[in-house]
Amino acid sequence: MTLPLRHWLRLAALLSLFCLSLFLTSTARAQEPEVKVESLKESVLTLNRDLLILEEELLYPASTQVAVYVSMDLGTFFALDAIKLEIDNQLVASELYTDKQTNALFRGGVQRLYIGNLKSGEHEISAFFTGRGPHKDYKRGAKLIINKNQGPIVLELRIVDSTAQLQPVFEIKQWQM
Amino acid sequence: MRPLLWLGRTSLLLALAGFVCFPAANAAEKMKTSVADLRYGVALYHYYQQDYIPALSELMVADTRDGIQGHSDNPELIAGGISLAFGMQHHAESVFTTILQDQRRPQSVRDAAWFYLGKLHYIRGDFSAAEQSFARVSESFKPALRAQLQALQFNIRIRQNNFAGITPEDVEKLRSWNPYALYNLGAAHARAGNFKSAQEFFAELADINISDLPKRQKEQWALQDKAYTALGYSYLAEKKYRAAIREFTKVRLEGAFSNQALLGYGWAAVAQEEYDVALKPWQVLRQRSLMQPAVQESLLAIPYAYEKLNAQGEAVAAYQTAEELLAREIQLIRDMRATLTQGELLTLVGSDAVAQGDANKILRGDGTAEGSPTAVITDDGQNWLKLDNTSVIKTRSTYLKELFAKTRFQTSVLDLRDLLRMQKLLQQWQPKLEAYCELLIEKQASRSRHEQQAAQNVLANKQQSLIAQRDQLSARINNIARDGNYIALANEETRALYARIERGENTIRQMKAAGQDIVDVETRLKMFKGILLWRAAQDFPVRIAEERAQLKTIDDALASIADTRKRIDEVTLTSVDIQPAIARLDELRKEVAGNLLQADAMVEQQSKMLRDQVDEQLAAHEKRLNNYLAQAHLAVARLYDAELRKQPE
Repeated sequence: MTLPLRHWLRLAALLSLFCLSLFLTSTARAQEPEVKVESLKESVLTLNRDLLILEEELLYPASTQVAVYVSMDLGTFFALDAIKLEIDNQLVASELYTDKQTNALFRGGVQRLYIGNLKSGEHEISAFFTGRGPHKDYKRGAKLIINKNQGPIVLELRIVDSTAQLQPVFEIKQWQM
Repeated sequence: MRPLLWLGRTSLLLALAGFVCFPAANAAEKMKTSVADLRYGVALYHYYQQDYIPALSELMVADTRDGIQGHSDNPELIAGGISLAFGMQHHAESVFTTILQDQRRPQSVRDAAWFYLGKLHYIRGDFSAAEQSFARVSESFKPALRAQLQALQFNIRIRQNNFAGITPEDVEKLRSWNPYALYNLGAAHARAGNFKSAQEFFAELADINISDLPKRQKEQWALQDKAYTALGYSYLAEKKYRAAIREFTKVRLEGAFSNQALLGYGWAAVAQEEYDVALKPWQVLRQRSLMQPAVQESLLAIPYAYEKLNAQGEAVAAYQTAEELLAREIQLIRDMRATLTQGELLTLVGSDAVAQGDANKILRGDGTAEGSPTAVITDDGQNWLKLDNTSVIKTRSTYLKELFAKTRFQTSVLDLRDLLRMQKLLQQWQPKLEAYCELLIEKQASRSRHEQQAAQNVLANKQQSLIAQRDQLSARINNIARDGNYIALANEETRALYARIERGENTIRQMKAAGQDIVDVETRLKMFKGILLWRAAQDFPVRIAEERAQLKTIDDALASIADTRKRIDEVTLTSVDIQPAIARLDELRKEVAGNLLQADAMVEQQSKMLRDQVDEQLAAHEKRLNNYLAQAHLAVARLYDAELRKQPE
């Protein structure tokens, strides 16, 4: 058996008890592979941006485009479970929300729920919200008649806490382009 | 100390979220002033879910178009923050530098930019630049972030070996960073051999009141356990064994540092030649998982104590048990080295991330053997403030925990995960681009067909009109030729004179009927008529040739129209005007393929690097256990030899 002292010191080193070097030496490591990875990331992100723009131009030209977004207030009176979206009584999008998604919405994130095409003329947009309130479950709907012309249509499904009514309010807002 | 480890990739996010994003949440409805704001919201939506590629892409698309309005400097700060989270340090640096170049920016924004820029320098190990950036942050900077900044400033002083003058009182202002700073400074003094100073910092840390918050409690307890253990070892180094034992006994038995404390307790007792006392903590330790280095150490420590107590029989038995257990453990490591292949690691890193709670459940016990290299990818990379092993990849294997906790390994895992995500993204674009190309060709062909139809209709009408004109002319020429109608092709003057002669003949017929004398007039009229017909006959061959030439011109025009129609058909079939659009798509397809090739190569390279790191770590453990095994073999031989020597010859 070797000397005990040697054990203590070796063990102390092993256990990193006196080792501050973790967060300091970590900074001194080789940067080259990371630079290569970052360079590829930049390239892929730029390419992805170009592809997304091209995709939108090809599939959803401005003259026929309709986009629907979802935003939420702080969620005091409503915990979102699901949304269904219908255009002219046809289901075009539905979403079951995870905690991660609703948390992102609470914090100010906005979800692009649907993007598609519509012919010129009058259309009925309907959204159905399902979720839980502090005292009861909610299943509510909101409707909006829109008139599609040559410009794109942008709609926002808004879930807002009404402090006056002490309950959630569901509405569809059309953004002017 | 681990909490600051995560500066490398994710640490800025929490602070950044606090600085930039919470205002967006509090006033989300008020802040939206245009459709562009929705894009900002979409970027945040992805960012909050740690989906950095779509978040950055959304901001980049918005930037390419009309930018994001109504959010002041937030989109830029958030772009910098997301870039950091996505491991794009250089890009983040350029974002923050751009912000700082504009002197009109508000102080709060400039402070944030200097702060993040300083952190970037810190991450890269450029402590001098980091110090300079931190120095530019104003006193009005958000207090919580300012505390973090000061903690980093202390770390820089430690790194620059300029910490001797720092007292425990100096770090009191660091709020939640205080315990970490105390520990770092204590460890720095211990490394320098200043155990007395180290003990001051560790003792200060041990005296902190544990917070009432359950989450913080767990963290604080663990930190205090670590401080007691470190204190114990520092007293051991100073040969203050009683004091060492006193500190070791304060460590909670169920805590993460109890193994080290139990082992240290034993060695402190041995140093005082209290071998029976040493056996107590070591026997407790011996019952624990053999993967723990302290437990492995106890395998040899126990028989050593027996030897000192002159219990040679027990010592031999304990050494032999150690031999057996160590051999088994070595085989386990060899199995792990064989199992943890490059492909296995790639599958692991590419798997879906699990929440922190679920990850802990999986790692606590999933029914597999204890030595199983079970590991999971977690989604709590942002929780770098926690004391316990917070990382993007976690393992239940003690042999790999140390490696997995290293920033280099974690960063490699994050890079590999990002590469896999990019690889997947590019792979998803490939079939889509094929489909879009076909769509474009079909769309263009359809449009060309319509255009061609319209052009063919115009030409067809013109062709019909020319054919009618030609038929009419051809019939006239035939009639004139057949009848020898020279006057029909005579010039206008001749035709006018001839018409007058015909009128004269008509008048003569009327005069004749009335009984008038017309002989002289009729004779002269016949002479004039004859002269006119003679003149017309002279010109007739030329005139008829001209008519036939005109007919030929119409025939040529008809042939040209037929040719044009044929060419239109050919153009429609080849769709020549689609080329620019196809070229753009082709260019993008090539770029996707090129990037994918690069991503594939880097995935291969990165996964091999990870595999090498894992294998190297396991090999080191194997080597250490082999050393223990050799020591056990030697000890057994030595004891047998001593026993033999005692026996009479």
